[in-house]
Amino acid sequence: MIDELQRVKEFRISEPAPSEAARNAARAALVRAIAEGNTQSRPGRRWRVPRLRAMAIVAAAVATAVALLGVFGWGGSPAGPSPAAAAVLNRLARLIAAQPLTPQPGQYLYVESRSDYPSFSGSCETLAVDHRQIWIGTDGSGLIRESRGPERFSSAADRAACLQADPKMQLRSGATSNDWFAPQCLALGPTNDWNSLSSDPQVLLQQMRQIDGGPATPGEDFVHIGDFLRETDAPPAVRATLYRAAALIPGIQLLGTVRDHDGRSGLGIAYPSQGPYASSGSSSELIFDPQTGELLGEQGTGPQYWAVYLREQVVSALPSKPPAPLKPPCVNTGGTVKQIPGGSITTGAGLNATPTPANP
Amino acid sequence: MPQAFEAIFDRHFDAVHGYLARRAGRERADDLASQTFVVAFARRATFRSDASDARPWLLGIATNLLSNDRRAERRLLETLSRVRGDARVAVVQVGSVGESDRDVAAALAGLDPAQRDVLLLHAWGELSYEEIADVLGIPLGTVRSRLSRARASLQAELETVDAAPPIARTQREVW
Repeated sequence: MIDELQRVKEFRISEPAPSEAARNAARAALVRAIAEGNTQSRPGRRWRVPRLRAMAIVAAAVATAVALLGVFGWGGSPAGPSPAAAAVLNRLARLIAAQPLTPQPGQYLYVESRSDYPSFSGSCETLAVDHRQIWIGTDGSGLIRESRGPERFSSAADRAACLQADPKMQLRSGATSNDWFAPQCLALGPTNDWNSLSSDPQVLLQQMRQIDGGPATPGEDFVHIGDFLRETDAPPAVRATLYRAAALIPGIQLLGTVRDHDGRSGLGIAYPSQGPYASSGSSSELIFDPQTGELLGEQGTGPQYWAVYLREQVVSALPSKPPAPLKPPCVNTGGTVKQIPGGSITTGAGLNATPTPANP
Repeated sequence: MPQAFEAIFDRHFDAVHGYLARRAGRERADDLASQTFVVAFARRATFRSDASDARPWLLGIATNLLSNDRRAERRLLETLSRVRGDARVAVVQVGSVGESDRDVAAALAGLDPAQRDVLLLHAWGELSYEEIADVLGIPLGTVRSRLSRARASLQAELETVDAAPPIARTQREVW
């Protein structure tokens, strides 16, 4: 399980230190930049593509992909979509389209979840339960309130491997945080330009490949569906198209009624052998509420992970006032946040911080 | 040079250069590492901490610069994965190359660039998931998902290589 990451860590590890000449030249370039006071200088191309332009690039790429699809057909996958799974997903699509999950200006979409995902290090795996509450404003502002439980080893073997690699290793204790986001700065999914997505499920599959990246395979398409649904403010109509798109993926399976980690029953849709360890016979499941069509939970094996989505609803206000005025532009704070009592504040690592299109 | 920025440069230049050199080769790293600090200075208002915490921020800038021109990285990985074809030339260009390196180079070359960014910031930069999300400006869930997918692809690719007979390996390396 750990071998591939270890091999990457060792790859080219003996790269020698930079030459004195390179270091001196870099220092001289920096001194020049400072002397010129040219704080606007950007070497080479802009590394932040304006969002509208980025979307135009994606749209052009999608148009090309769709044109090719028309010529070459659907990817040559031998197995067709599962009729049973497709029927359930299309029914869930009708349900979700009718849910009142569209906030009006001044309102927020509130999403609450708990999850337990493994965290990999070079030698071992740890877990920590994460309770997240997110308020997403219509202007792209919002708050992520997070309470992370104490870190623990995934297994006795992981504990042994961790301690062998670092005998002084200490598990992290729990932590809470409040991250505030200025307008246009809260980005929770691969996109938040939902209007740019097609209402044609087959075109949407191609758009997701462009936006979310990764190999062009049915298994990856299933991953994209989760990425676009999970803790995002995708409007109900977009969610419905995502479900209809999932119905087109060859290889998906209907699991019937399953239980999520909290014991709630829902309709399970799975894609086998496509998880963090594809070659280990793993699977990943999305679980939907049969009454509302909402995403209820996720779980997978190899390694084991789970998430439950506890509440998704439109609310009229944030739980408290931001501790300071939050104004765009979004600033990528580079991993540093200003500490405030009980949490942290950041203006967000949002739209402008990404060298979009999301996966060049 | 303002003293604080001089400290940042002195403390982190080698690490930034090393990360870039592993990804794109020494020559390209000389240029990109220099650009990283010029950009960092221009964007210093976005960084509000002491020099000891600047490494993730700098590696994020370095990764963004690298993403503007993927050719150098692609060429390097191509060269490393084909080293069997003309070992003499390859050794001159990239130093000595073991069999494991060739396989890892081929596996890395096959990754989606966005997945490779996340994987290598984690594996080489030793950034946490949260730090990667911050410096790349992507959601934490996306970091998890990209890293998982990158590892799955790597594992599948490396297992295929390990199980393949020599003739198949040669063909696979024609990339």
